[in-house]
Formats: sequence, structure tokens, C-alpha cells
Amino acid sequence: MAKEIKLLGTWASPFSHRIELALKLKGLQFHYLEEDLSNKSQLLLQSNPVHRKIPVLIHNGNPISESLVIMEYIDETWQHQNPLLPKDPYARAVARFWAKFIDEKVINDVLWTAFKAYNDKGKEQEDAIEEFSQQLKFLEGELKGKEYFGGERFGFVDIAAFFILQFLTVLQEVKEAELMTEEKYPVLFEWMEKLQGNEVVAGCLPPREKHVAYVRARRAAAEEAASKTKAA
Amino acid sequence: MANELILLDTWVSPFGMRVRIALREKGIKFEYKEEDLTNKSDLLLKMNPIHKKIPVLIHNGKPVRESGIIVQYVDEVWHDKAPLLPSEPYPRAQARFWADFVDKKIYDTGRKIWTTKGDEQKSATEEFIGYLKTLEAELGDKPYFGGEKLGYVDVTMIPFYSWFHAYEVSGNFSIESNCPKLMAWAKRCMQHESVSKTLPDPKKVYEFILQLKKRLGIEARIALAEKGIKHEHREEDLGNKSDLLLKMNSIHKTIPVLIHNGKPVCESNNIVQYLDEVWHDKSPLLPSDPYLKGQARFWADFVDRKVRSSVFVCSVSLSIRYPCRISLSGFMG
Repeated sequence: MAKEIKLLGTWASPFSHRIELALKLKGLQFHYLEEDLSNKSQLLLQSNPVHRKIPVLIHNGNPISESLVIMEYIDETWQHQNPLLPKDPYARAVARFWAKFIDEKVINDVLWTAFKAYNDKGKEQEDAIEEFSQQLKFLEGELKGKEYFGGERFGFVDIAAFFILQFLTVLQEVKEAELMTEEKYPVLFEWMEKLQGNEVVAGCLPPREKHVAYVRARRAAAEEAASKTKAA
Repeated sequence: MANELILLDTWVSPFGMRVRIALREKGIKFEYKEEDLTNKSDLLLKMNPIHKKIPVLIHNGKPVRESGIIVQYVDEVWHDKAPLLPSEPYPRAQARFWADFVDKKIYDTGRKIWTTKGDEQKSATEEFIGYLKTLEAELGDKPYFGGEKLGYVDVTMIPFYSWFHAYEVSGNFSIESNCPKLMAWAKRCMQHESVSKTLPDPKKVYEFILQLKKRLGIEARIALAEKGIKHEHREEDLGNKSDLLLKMNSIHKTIPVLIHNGKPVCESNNIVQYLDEVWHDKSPLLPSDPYLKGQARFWADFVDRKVRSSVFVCSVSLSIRYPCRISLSGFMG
């Protein structure tokens, strides 16, 4: 029986990119299916009826959802190739902690707030940016003295965090605020340069031009919606 | 090598309970340290500087944080005793998925039930029941989420059983009648000593929530919402109190504080009474009859003083006996 791996994702989603990267790092072949989130496929709705979200990994017909859960599954199923998590239980607990931190604070809490609030410039946006800086400082502290979050080798947390590389510079292009500078975060910048130089990693990032255009369009739509609400 | 385990936790936290259940299931000895979350210990701040939250498990001096991560850690280190996660990757992924579902949905939706009123509360209650039904469907005919034995998802979800009574009273609904299968599962879990020894008395959890609502200014906010009073809400960082707070409540330096045209009113019960007196024409919270008003004040004060101590004699269900339904329950929560 041929082992079949399908990935349901979207080109712009950092959660989707993580899984692409994890699969590529393990040297695995897979079918990528681009989802239209405004018109979700039957396959997606059947595979993730609870959340109806991407990414979803389907392995031999068995679906798995939630990006960090999928990453652990990939690591356990193909455990001999390029391990993503360390063997030591304590080191694993630390890696899981940082991946969760990135998901709950960096992506969810702060980034979306910072860019949702861009229509109400002022205190709310300032607070969101301040919190974001704090989260980056924590990441900077964790990375200090190491080649990667995973230590000598690219690992679980690096995969969770690598979206920072493109996402931030794109967002800075469409906004005035200098969210991340080399002076403030030298360690993170060095890490990002390493990632940029890695073909497999850089290959999982969306095309920069396309991504910038996408964010600009979303921002314009949000501004329009906000001004309509104010006028109403 | 000595295995030194210290758990920083608080009795009422469902997240902390998960860790206690896991350790007890595996027969692992640990030292329990009760944290006062209004006055966090230096040890907690040192061991979890990023989130400053419990639970934290300190194993031979090294901290493990986040309840789900701690339970997985305990399962990996003491893998030979009562394993909680399945051994195969796909069932493991499923277990992690459902634990993540519980984490994302149950606590936050449950919190909305006891922090809101009216339509918002009603929709939170409906959402909550929906999630419980989803879990029931996942449980199916199995005795436990883990199959024949208590597993990772069971340990993750069962602590909320001690909070069910608080949700039910706050939202005025019955979990048993909506989700009988889940209740049967919960009672099955309670037959395990690791669970029955860990879960607190549901009545004590409800009393705790009543106190918490006052301390967090939730009662004041509900009163403002009920009366439709426009106000600015300022979130305080209790670890870094604002100058405004320290000036407006120089004696106790606690929230909630209502500032009306520059003048402060402190203490939850005082704020609610003040709002009721100033905006007396809108949705009265206290009864108009002076005797009943006095009774309402007495019981509000009683709840405040008695619940603070660890021994609580009277059940708070006394509030329901009073004829003035909305006003009193609004006041007492």
C-alpha cells in the first residue's frame, strides 16, 4: 500500500507553511491541496469537522488537525529522519513551551491585534506594539548563545517561528512602524539570515511580492470597512 | 538520585488539577505549594517569569510550565506507570487534538457564563453546551476518552467537572439534562482516587467564583451593563499598579475602583449600591423595600466575609429563596 500524504493548506497561512517545512525536512513527498477558505472543500469539512480550519494533514486517509499536533505526529511517525524534537523529556517540554508561546502570544495575541488596530491608531495600537516588542525580547533571550532555537540544529521551535522571517518584513513594508530592527534584536536577525540562506526553509515562504500585495489588499479592505462603520 | 518534585499550584485551578491527577495516577510523590495569585511568590516569578502562572512543576530544580506540557512531561519521564498517552502516533495525535480542543474552548466559554448576564450569558451557555456535546460525540460508547482506561484527554477535561455546579448556577441551566453521557463519564472518573482526591467541592468552587467576581470588578461591570451606563474600562496590571489606582484607592490599592467625575468609589458592594442610588431609575439592582434592601446588603456582606475564610457554613443557595429575584441575584451574582 502506497503511503499517501496530503496537505490541505493555503499559500498565505504561516500555520500551513510550518507543515510544508516539516514534511520537506523529513524528505517526504506529499500532495499539496490549496484551499479556498471562502469556499471550503468537502474534503476539508470532512477531515476537520470540529474547527474547519487548515492546515490538515491526511496520512493514509487519516486526518490530523492543529499545526503543532500535526508536527508532533510527523516527528513521531518518521522519527528516524531528521528529528524535530529532542529526545530528552525536559528539553522536549521546553521546546513545546516555546512553540505554544509563539502560537498564543506572537501570532495570535499580538500580531493580529497590532494589525487589526491599525485603523484606530493611538493607545490600542501602541499597547499592542509594546506587547509585541516584549514577546520578541523573550524570543531573543531564548535564542541567545544558540545556533537555532533547537540548539545546534534547526528544530521544532524554529519551524514554529520561521514565519517571522517573511511576515514581519512584509508587514513593515505596508506600515510605517519599525516593529523589528537589527539594533533591537540582533540575535533574531542573525537567525533570520541563517534561515534565508537555507534553500529548504526559504522555499516554504510565500512569494514576497504576492504576499505584500495580499496584505495591502487586506489592510485596504479593513480600512474601508472601518470608515463605513464610523460613517454609519 | 533524589527525585525532588514541587508543584506550584492553586486549589481551584482546573489546569493545576490536571497535573495533580497525572502525578497521583502514577503514584508519584510531590510537594504541593499553594500560591496566592494576588500575591505571587518569588519562587513562582523566578520559575515562570514569562507568564507568571501556575501550575509549574519543579523537577530537581528545573521548571516545567503549561499544564498540558507538564502532563506530557510526567507521562514521558514515568512512562512505565499508568501511561496516559497512547503508544501509537495516530491515536496520540488524536488525543493531543482533543486536549487542545478542551484547552481552547471550555475554560474561556465557561468564564463568559459567570462573568456576563442577559443575552451574552445565554449565548455563552449555548456555546458551552455545544462544546460539551461535541466531546460527548467523541467519547461515544467508550468508558473513557482514553478507551478502557483514564487517558490524557480524560485528565485534561475532568477538572472542569468541579466547576460544573458554578457554571450551572451562574447560567441557570443543567448540564446533566443536556449532556447525560458526559456526566456519566465524569462520575466514572470520580471513582478513581487520583481524581476524587484532587477535585475540590463544587460548592467551594462556586463560592470562590462569587468572591472572584467582586475582586475583579465583574459585579461592578455587570451593574454598569445592566443599567446601560456608558463608561471607560481600564485594565490594571496588578503586578504594576497605575498611579491613578494608587491615588484613587490609597488605602487598599485594589480594584475595582469606580471613578465618577473624578471621585473614587471603592469596594465592589459599595460601587454597586452607589450605581443603584445614582441611577435609581434604570434597572434597580437592590429591592426598594427597606427591609429587603437591608437583607440583601446583609447577605452580600456575609458572602464577602464568610467566603474569604476557608470554612463556609451556609450554602449560597440562600440567595434564591428571596422573593426579589432579579435584583437580589443581580446583586449577589
